[in-house]
Amino acid sequence: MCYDLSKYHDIILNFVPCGDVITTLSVTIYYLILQFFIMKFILENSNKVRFGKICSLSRSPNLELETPVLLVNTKAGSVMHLSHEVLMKIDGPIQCLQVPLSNSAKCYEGVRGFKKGIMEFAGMKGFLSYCSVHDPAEKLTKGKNEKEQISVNTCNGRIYITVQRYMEIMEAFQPDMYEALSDGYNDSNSSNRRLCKSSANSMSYFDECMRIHEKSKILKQTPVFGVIEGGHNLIYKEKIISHLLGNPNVCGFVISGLHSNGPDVEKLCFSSIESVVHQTLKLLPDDRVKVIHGCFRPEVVVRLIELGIDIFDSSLVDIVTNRGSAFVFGWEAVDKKTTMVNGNTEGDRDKSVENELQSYKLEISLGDKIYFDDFGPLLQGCSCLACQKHTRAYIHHLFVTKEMLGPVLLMIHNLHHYLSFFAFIRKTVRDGHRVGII
Amino acid sequence: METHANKCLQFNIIKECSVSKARTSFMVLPHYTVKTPVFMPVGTQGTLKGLLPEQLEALDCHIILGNTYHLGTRPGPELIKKAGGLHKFMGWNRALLTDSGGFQMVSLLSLAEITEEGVKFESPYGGSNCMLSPEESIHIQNAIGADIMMQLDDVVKTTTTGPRINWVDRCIEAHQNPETQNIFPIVQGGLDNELRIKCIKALMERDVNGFAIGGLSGGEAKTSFWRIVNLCTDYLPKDNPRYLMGVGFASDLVVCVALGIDMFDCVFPTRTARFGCGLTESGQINLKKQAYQCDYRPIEEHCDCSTCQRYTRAYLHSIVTVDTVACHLLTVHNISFQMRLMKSIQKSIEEDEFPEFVRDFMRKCFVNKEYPEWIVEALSAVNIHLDCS
Ligand SMILES: [Zn+2]
Ligand SMILES: [Zn+2]
Repeated sequence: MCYDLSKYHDIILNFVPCGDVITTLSVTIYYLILQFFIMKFILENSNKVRFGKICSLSRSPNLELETPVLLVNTKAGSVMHLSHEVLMKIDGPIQCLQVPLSNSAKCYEGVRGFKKGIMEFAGMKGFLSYCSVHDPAEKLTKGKNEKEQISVNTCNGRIYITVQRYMEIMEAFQPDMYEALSDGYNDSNSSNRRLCKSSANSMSYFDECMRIHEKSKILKQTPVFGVIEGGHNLIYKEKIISHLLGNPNVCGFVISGLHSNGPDVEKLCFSSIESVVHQTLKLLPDDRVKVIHGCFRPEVVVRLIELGIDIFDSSLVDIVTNRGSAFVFGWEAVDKKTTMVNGNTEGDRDKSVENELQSYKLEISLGDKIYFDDFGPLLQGCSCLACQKHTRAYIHHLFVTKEMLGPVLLMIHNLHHYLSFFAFIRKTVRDGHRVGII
Repeated sequence: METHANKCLQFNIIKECSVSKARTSFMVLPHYTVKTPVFMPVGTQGTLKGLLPEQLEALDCHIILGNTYHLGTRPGPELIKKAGGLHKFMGWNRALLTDSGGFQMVSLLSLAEITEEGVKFESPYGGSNCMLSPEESIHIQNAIGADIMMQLDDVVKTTTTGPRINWVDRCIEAHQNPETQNIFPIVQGGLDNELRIKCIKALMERDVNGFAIGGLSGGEAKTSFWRIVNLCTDYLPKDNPRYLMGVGFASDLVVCVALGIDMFDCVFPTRTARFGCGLTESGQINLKKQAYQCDYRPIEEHCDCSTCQRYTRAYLHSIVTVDTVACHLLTVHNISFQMRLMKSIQKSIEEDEFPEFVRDFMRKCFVNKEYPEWIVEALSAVNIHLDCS
């Protein structure tokens, strides 16, 4: 049953307990109320691998997102290399698009005057949108961060963004979900000094974001995700989490600071982030959504889902496509021999998973001469348009001649493949099985 | 010619303009029936600038062009043959036309030298000397398998002493697939009326199904350009298609259709898209300009292409020349623009309203009726008079 509660929304929001008088009880009550209007996360199974659905999004109340969710990464609102016409030829389920500020800030003036948000501006009306700060497909290189503003790498060079400006952009973009601004320049190699600074910056950006958020007619109904920086250091992470938990507007958490984005994330093995992710998750309430960005390899994604992460992005698709490769990895449902609660697994299973790393082939590189006269599809049995209508030999030719159709066809295949992978994961975890990569 | 057993081109004229030399027809080719007058987008290397074959079909594109020089170099005739021809290799089921490779060679390679044997050149992918003879050009074009092939012509010498007619014969002689592929000879002769007429007369003695007019997409004065086109269409047989090579600006297309041309090709619409420009009835707009930052109209009002249905100038402005999507979107629109223009031309000829169409088109194209003199002259030569006052 559906009730139109939106008219009560403002009344309730005006009862927001804020500032110093906030109490744990009032936060909890407020969060429960908030769920009706802003975003609801229904956790369907927290016993084994968690899955659930995100619904009642204030801007698109009729759409549901089944978790684990794949956010399809965009450049300025468009999926890389694909116009809307071509994107519609991919039959995989696109649940939500990710709009990173770093590649879409250039649209700000246009979107602001347009008044209908970034999705409709980018020709993507009808898609859900999630706004993040950085593009996970692009390596972060640190600029001079000031206390009041953060530097962002864009295709047109580095820009500096204040919290005020960030929130103005969010108001213009009108996303379905967005991340609070944070200082993302930290990873496992960061100095203590940097971690300290990034945490302090992030918390002060967050407070400032929320101050504007609560006053903004457009944004106060939009779910906000709090970003947990602090590298791999749990002391900083804990400090940020307790800060974020003090604000009832936070609908989900981004576990950040694990890496510095870009292709290097592929080299991360699960064991190098398992502990920090696991410990961080322990500090977070079960009933909120958890996000991790970055182009992790498929087996790492599977393990992160088993740990309890709900939302990922498709930056691996962008990276693999841009290096001229096509996905060929496969997946299978594996019967669970061991019970697993919140990612606590037995030791010997871990070993077999580590072996997966070597045992499957992620991609083939179409620039390779061996495909010169290979008239087979990119991947045997794939139902995407690129595999149905074109050959490896033709796509090899497109890469040799640097023709723009090459990346288009690879993107069609790779996105189709990765969307199918996530669809399979959603189905398999609901059936109570593990996912294996082959 | 009518007795040719395996005629793989039928040219069925639907209607001729009662005033000018314009006509509309169905040109039946082995892979597709092409409605003329037709504009053929250029897909140099077996792909049309980032568009999928089904996007071209959605744009109602009937025939596209491939470049023999490029395809002969990469991936090479052997591979294309192994793939079953270019149609299969690139996944395009409609008609294809290939040039001879000679023009590309002379314009791309500074060291190309033309002898009686053919075009001698240094390979750009390794220092060896190569020769593109009429036989070799046809050998490659046979492997590509386009519905229409071009003879190899001497683009340099023709302007002085007249075309090498024997190259046409060598091409026809070398042709292996007369049942499935046509050869069009090329009328050369520069800006010299006598050479052009001499060439046409000689070519008309050959067993061919259509004719191309070459050597007119360079920097010649427009007043010479239209006179030569007009001369050629006067002398060429009426019951064969006439292809004017390398011409594709909207106003040139309209004028040359009036002069009796049926087929055109040009890289302009796709090239200008890559530079961030969109074609409109009143000329092209450069979307990089700041003026479009908050312009929420489509590239062209009333355009039914997939780009204009969904995207604004403002969005294109914010991603132009940075994201490849902008280029794809502009390419779709620009090809749609050319296709729509040709369709309105065809329709107006069928309804015998072509002269009105031309006057209307020119009014939109040139504000305050400031028509270029050559257009006024060319059109009045075929009895279409622009109202200049
Ligand atoms: Zn595929
Ligand atoms: Zn259009």
